[in-house]
Amino acid sequence: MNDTLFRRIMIAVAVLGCLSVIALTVYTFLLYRGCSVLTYIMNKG
Amino acid sequence: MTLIKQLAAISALTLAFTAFDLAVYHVFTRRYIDRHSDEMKRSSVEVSAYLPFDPESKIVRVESDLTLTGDLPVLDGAAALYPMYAAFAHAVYPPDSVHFDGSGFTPDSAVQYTNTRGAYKALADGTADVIFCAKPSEEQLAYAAEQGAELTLVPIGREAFVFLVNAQNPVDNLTVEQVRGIYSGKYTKWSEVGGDDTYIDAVQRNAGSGSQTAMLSFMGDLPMKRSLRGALSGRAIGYSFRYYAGSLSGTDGLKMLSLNGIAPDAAHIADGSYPVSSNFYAVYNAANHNENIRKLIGFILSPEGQQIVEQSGYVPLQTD
Repeated sequence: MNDTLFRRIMIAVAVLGCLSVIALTVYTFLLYRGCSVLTYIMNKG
Repeated sequence: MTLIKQLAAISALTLAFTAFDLAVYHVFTRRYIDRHSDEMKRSSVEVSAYLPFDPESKIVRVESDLTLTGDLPVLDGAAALYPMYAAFAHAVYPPDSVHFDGSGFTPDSAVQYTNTRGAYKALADGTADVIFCAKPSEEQLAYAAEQGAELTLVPIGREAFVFLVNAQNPVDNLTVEQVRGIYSGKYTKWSEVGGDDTYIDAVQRNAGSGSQTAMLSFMGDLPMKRSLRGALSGRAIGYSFRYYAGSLSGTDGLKMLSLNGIAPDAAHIADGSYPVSSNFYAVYNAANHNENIRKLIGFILSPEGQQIVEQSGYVPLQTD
C-alpha cells in the first residue's frame, strides 16, 4: 500500500471515528434530558 | 512502512474508536435508555386521561351540592397532583369552564397543568389562582415576594417521601440517619449501610422540583454531595413522592425502601409512623380576594373533597 493511500485510509477512519463519538454523545445527551430518575435507577443496578 | 504495519495501524485506530464508543455506551448511554416504557407510561400522568367533564375520563367522581359560578379560580399544580385537582374542578366547576385542545389546556381554561415550577411561577405572576403542590422552595418564595404575592398554604392531604433503589439492590431498609449520611457523603459504599461492596450513586433532582425541595428540607443543614465514583460505577439511590413512584415499585427494576423499619404504605403515612411523610397544599395569594377560592378550599376540606384526595391515591387529612 503506498503512503498516500495509507494516509487517506487513516484519515477516513479518524473522521468516521470522530463522527461516531459525536453522534453517540449527542444521543446520550438527548436521552439524559428525557430520562426520569426512576428510569435511571431501574437501569442502574 | 510495511503492509502489515499499515494494516495494524488502521486496525488499531478502528479498534480504539470502537472501544471508546462501547465504553461511553456502557458507562453513560445505556443508563438513560427507557427500557420500561410500558411501566413508565402507566405511571406518568396522562392529562387527557383525567380530563374533567369527559365521559371517558378516569377522574374520581363525587357528588357535590356546590357549583361555583362567576369568577372561577384558575387551578394549576404538580404533575402528580393533576388527577386530584382535575377531580376538584369536575366536582364544583361548570362543564364549560375547562378547555382542552387535544395537546394541552387553552389559556382560557380554568384548569392548567404546568407542574410545580410552572405553577408557583403562575401563582406569583397572577395567571393561576390556586395551585396544588408541595411546599415552595426558597427560590419560589423569593420570586413570589418579588412579585408581591403573599402565599397562603392550606394543607389538604398527606404524602410520603420515598427513597428508591434498583430491585437488585439487597438493601430493603435504611435509617433516616443513614439516608442523610449517604446524601452528605458520610457513606460512600453500600456495604457501610448493610449492602454489598459497591459505591453509592446518590442521585439528585432538578432544583425547584417538588422532590428536590422536599429533599433539601429532609437534609436540614447538611449539604448534599454526589460522588464521581458512585456516578460512574455505583448502584443508584433516588427519591420521589410515593404517588409518582408507587405504581412502578415491585415491577422489574425498582424498589421503595423502608425507613427506620417502616414501609411507606397508606396506613403508616396516615398514622404518622412513616418518618418522612408531609402535607401537600392548596396554595393561593392572600391578596386574591376571589370568594370562590375560599369556597373551593372549603369543599376540598369537606368529606367529599377528602374522598377525592383518598381515591386519587393520596392520604387524606386526619379529620377526627
